[in-house]
Amino acid sequence: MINKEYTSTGPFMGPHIREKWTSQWIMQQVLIALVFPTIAAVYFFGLWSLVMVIVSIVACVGLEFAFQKIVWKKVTITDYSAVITGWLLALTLPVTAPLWTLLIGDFIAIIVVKQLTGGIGRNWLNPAVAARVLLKLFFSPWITNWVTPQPDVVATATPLADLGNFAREVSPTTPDLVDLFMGFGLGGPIGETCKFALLLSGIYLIARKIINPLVPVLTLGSFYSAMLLYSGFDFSFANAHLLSGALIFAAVFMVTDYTTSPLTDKGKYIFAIGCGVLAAMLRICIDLPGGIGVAILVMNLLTPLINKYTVSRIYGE
Amino acid sequence: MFVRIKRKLGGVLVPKNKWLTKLESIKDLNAPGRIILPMNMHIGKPAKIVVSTGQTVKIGTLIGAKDGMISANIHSSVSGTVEKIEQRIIGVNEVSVVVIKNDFKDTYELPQASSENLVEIIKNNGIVGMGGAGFPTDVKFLLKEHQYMETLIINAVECEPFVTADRRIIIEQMNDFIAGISMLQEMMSIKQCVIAIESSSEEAIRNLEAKIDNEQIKLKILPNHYPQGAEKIVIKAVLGKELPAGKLPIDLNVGIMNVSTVFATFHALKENRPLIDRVVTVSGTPIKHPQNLRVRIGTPIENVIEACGGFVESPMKLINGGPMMGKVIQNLDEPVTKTTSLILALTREEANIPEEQNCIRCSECVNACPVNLQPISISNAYRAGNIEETKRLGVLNCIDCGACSYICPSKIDILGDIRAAKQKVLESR
Ligand code: SF4
Ligand code: SF4
Repeated sequence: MINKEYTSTGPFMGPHIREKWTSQWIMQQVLIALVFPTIAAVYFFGLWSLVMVIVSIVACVGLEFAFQKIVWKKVTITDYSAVITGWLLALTLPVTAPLWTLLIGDFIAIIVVKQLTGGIGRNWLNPAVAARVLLKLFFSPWITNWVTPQPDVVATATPLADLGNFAREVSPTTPDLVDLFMGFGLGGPIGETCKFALLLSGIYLIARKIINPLVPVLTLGSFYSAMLLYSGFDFSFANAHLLSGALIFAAVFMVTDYTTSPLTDKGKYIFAIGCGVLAAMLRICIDLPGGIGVAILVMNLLTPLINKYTVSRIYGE
Repeated sequence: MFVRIKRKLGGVLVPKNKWLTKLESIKDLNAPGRIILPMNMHIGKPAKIVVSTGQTVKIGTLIGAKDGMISANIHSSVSGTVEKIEQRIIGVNEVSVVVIKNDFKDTYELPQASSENLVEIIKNNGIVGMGGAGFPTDVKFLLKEHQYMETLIINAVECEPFVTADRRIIIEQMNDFIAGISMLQEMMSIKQCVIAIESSSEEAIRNLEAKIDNEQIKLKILPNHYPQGAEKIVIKAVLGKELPAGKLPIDLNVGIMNVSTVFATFHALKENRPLIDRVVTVSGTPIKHPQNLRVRIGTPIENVIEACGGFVESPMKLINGGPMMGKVIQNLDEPVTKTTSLILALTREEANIPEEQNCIRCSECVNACPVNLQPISISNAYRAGNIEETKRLGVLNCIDCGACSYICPSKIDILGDIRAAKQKVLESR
């Protein structure tokens, strides 16, 4: 007896098969990449960093869930994007930031920037970046109270404070490159001081084909070139700038954000270069650590325009 | 990002699964007890039925007559009597079908006295494009005054997964294949012929390379990704020219035919033989013995499945055509038609499409689109009810390849939206 049993199921038209990957899988890869700087954060700033990360994630997921319940929308917390936002935001704050500032940041990110503009895939601004910049504007004393890593927790300036203000060369107090790269003895946001960990994250995301390698490379490259030009090719100045502040963190995790960057590869490259150059200008002109955040927001707002001018020519048109 | 998509080319890398049948040489399937001939085996107007119930027919008897410019003749593939003429729903359309009961005598009748005019012979024998679209072949060769065919592209790409019919034909009937091409070339005084073939067809490529000694026939090996075989994409890959929306290849002085069509045309011209059978790949993990079969047109799919040993597990989907562009077979008594190159069975696991999620704007659909559309933007505009915008975004240029839906990690039915938008745009004209 041969088996000929068959009843048709599913849609009539193709495609009848799909690539196996899912949005969740992509987001999980980002979460894995976030583990590297988090380990560094715990190593340099203590277990409290972990508490911050967890609180922030719980807050973001909770807020998203509550908001979507209240407005009767489909709950989308299973897509992990709120987890990423919460995690990212926590990593951009110093260990001394009171938890309530973190929670305000989470609220701004999830409710104001993300949900009120339509939820995942629709927000214009990068939620974590916008929240970070607003916190910086309004809650500066609380969240710029940098500390150097343990054991001797003392208030200190970030290395950037020595580099800003139209400085054209490295000041004597700027840590050496190895310290800047590894995060030894640096003050700053918990996730951003160890460039080595960020490098690992970047490599992981590139290896997993989650981000286009040219995007962070162009961001950093254009930033570095701008700094070189400005300082009259003072490499130590440009190096110090490259390894200071949130630049590398943002280049790996934020400039590469899918939702708030342009659709085409060409657009993404323009976006990346824009972020790098603007960040350099902001650092030079206004003494503003976290200038990359503002740069990203500006480029976010320009994204529709970039999209418009980078549409590929349609076949046959 | 880079593994799934060949960036510059567009398109996607789909597991091809050709190994299931690529070494299976073509076997003849015995004629079934009954054949079912739908009158719409080609695009354009359905053929007009010219037989009546009870009438005896032979192999090659005209059953449906070409009706209008874009239409094609349909012939009986068995000898016997016309049992029924009825309306049936096949796919989404209701269509007239002629059911013929086989008397197994296999008596022949050649179609209308052969004519001097070669295009006329192709037309009489009911040749249509056998790759899927079913465009009447005579129309391709019916040139207007200022037109000429400079290049003939033989589309042997077979980019859909699973299907191996064309490469088997090339391997097994190499001499006829070359002879067929040369004949067409002479008949239309075509300057050059290019055989476009996917790099994964190694055996066919090796044989062709050894065989082609003719200056005018060239081999073009194309990368192994999807939808490299779509007409517009092949033309671009071979000639570097782009076919604008709504234009025919002949507007670029190009003719394009797939392998089976070349054979059918060759036999029509040489022996006045109508299109009554074709090679079909029957494949997929639920099929017991996947293979390549030469099947009479009109054979119920049930017989074909039977010849392959039936199913090892009940498939979730049976598809007429490939998994990307094929259409679901709703019933096992649907017949093999002139355009059936593949009958594919997919398991539940393979055919399962997870629930749609929100777009994360990963841009993969944009990178995948071989004609450079922004599928997600079109889908968004359609869902927002903005049909004008979908038109501006070039929805009519979409070639329905499905690469965008295939790649989307959020499993959004982008092509579904695009098809619907296209429909709306066409209606509003
Ligand atoms: S529709 Fe799918 S593939 Fe296209 S951008 Fe959105 S998530 Fe990515
Ligand atoms: S928009 Fe059309 S042509 Fe582009 S990938 Fe999707 S189905 Fe293919």
